[in-house]
Amino acid sequence: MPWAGILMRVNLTSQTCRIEEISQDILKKYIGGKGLATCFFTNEVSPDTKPLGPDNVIYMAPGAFSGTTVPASSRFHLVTKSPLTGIYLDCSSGGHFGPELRSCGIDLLILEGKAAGLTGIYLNNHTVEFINAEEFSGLGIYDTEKRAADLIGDKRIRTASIGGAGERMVHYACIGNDFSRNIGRGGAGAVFGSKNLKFISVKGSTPVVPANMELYPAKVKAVSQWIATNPWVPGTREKGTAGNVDSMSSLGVWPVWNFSGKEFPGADKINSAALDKKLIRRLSCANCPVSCSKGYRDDIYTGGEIEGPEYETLCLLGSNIGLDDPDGIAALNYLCNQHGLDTISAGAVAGLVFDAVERGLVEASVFGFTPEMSLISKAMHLLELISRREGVGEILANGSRAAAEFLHMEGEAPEVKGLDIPGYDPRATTGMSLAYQTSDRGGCHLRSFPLGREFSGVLEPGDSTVGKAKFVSEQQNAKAAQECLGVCQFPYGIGINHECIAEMLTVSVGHTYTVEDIITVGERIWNLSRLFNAAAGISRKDDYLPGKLSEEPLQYGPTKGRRMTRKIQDTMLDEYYQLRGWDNNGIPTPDRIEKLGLQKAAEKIQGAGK
Amino acid sequence: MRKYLSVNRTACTGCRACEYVCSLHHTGAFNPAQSRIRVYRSGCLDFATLVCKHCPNPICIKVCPEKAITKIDGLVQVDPTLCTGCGICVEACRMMFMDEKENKAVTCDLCGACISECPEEALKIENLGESR
Repeated sequence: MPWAGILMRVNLTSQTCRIEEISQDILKKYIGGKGLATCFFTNEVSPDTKPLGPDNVIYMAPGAFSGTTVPASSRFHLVTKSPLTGIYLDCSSGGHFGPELRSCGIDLLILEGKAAGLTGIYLNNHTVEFINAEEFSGLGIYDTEKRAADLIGDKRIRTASIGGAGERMVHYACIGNDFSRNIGRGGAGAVFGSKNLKFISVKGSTPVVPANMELYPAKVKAVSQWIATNPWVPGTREKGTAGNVDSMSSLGVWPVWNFSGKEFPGADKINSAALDKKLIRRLSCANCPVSCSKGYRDDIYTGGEIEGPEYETLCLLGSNIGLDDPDGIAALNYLCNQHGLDTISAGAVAGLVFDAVERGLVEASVFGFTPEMSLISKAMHLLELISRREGVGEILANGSRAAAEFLHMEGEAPEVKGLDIPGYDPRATTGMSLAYQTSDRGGCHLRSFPLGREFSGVLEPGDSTVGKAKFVSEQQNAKAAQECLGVCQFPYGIGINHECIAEMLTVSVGHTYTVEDIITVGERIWNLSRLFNAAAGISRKDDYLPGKLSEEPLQYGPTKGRRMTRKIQDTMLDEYYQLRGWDNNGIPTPDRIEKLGLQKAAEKIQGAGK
Repeated sequence: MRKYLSVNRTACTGCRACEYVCSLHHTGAFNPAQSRIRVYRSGCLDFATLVCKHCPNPICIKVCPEKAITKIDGLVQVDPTLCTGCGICVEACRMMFMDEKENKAVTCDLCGACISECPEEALKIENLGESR
């Protein structure tokens, strides 16, 4: 069965590793991926741990379906404490690393301690080799992957690594794998860097056999047929995430010029139709029938290749800095991929910088900008400064909050809890605002996404808050549950929306689940992370949009004039906390903790946080 | 006449569903390290899906010190009872693979299990004698 019941614990300080058993009880309660990683993280890491100190720990877990032919099941999760937000961080990535981790015959990889010098790890089934990686110092992620394959002597290994930004512990450094895929948000790459961990290469040859092989093919077929009914799949396959540019722009949702609320005239230059003209080839994550990934080569500025640019990058490193040149955006995307920077946070910081210069808040010369430089040259220069923590880059590397303070723009950083908001302006819909306000890792669109339903009228549009707390809290539970499985939300939609998924899980792991059972796992995870965050100092006071996005109205399209007032945010939070069984300050109540079977976990977290 | 599994390189997206299906068909488990068709990625946009072409003068047969590889009825085949897993054939031809669990060379036997499972319909049995 896909549960190996085994974790690999690697200690970088002592350069040792240890196999440990995972109990069936924990596997049943947390399934895999996000669940398993969150369970171990909240149990083992104190909420007051310094994110970049040697006591922080990294948990990497393939989803329950990863490494099988369940459609689009490539994803793995990474949980740690974020240097950008100072709270719980959960990230996931597609590609082929997750299934390879599963092929090693483990459910969870734990990375502890700190190596004395720059180090690589080669995990081959149940063996771990520590590799002196001093020669990899400063290498970009693409180059690290290639050199690791050469060094290990196997072109089929899968490598997750950091670039220069991670080595220098930029607070929004990411971990790249399969060249262009990323554990992108919240600075997990900086945690690698703090441990002197340059790369992890994995290769496995452990057979993965579903618990009920007799029923497995029929259940895969049922899941495939269900996915085929998802009306969004054809568009995602044809256009990728860039397909969102036109719709979000016309709906007045698209952030431009540092979340100015204004309309961007260049959308049609960087939409999917524009990008499609330069398509090199389509790519897929493991076992994915959708193939949303579009290969692109920037022939003008860097010669760099990427999968994308994805919608968020087209926004944050495009419209948000006023750039309407697809090759320019691809170049910035490539630099972020190589240096290992989150394109969303990098774009948020760059948006603040360009806005500050435009408004005369800071001299252009502070950033080394000269009048001869084009926008793209300035942006590329900025990314280099940040990646190297050079000059003003030392401040900008600490995230948009620190950048806004330096730029005399307090309250303007487009973030929640320190994590920068992606390409959907939360002033556009109340539901999207609440989704950002309450996301477990800070401003994120991947925990709940009510926006589509609000514009289509399934949920009430405009300033109405009716039904938003219910929708967001339920979708967060269902999405957290989905993220235990390793499946991608593009073909499946967000959450556990059909019984065929529960049946698939049952035949895969050999323990019977209903849809409700799995969603309860999601709610359990959601409460665990909130307990951790609460012990790290998070409460209601942190569950709001920044001042700018509350007070300054949008200025174009169907959303013109809309703001997300404190009153609207409060109304939704009151209802949200009530539905979640949290107190008025946003802390889980003993009743809800008991209902979810989290008493011991809560005691541990709360005890450790004191 | 020569038959082999051909890969439409334009259509292939590198999802590796073929590897998983192949290993399941031949070993009863998902294990790409035992697959007879393999995707090699060498760069961000560069990958190649490799599988035995059952070519007219197979180098693998010539280099095998154990004479474990033969061509019977147009199919290159490895006798697992003779193969010692030395890897010389794998070094000589990039279409020959090592079953990394059993430590034996393996090659495509044209079972066709992967063909119907390829989401891009990029695989088919090429029959050179009839089509050309």
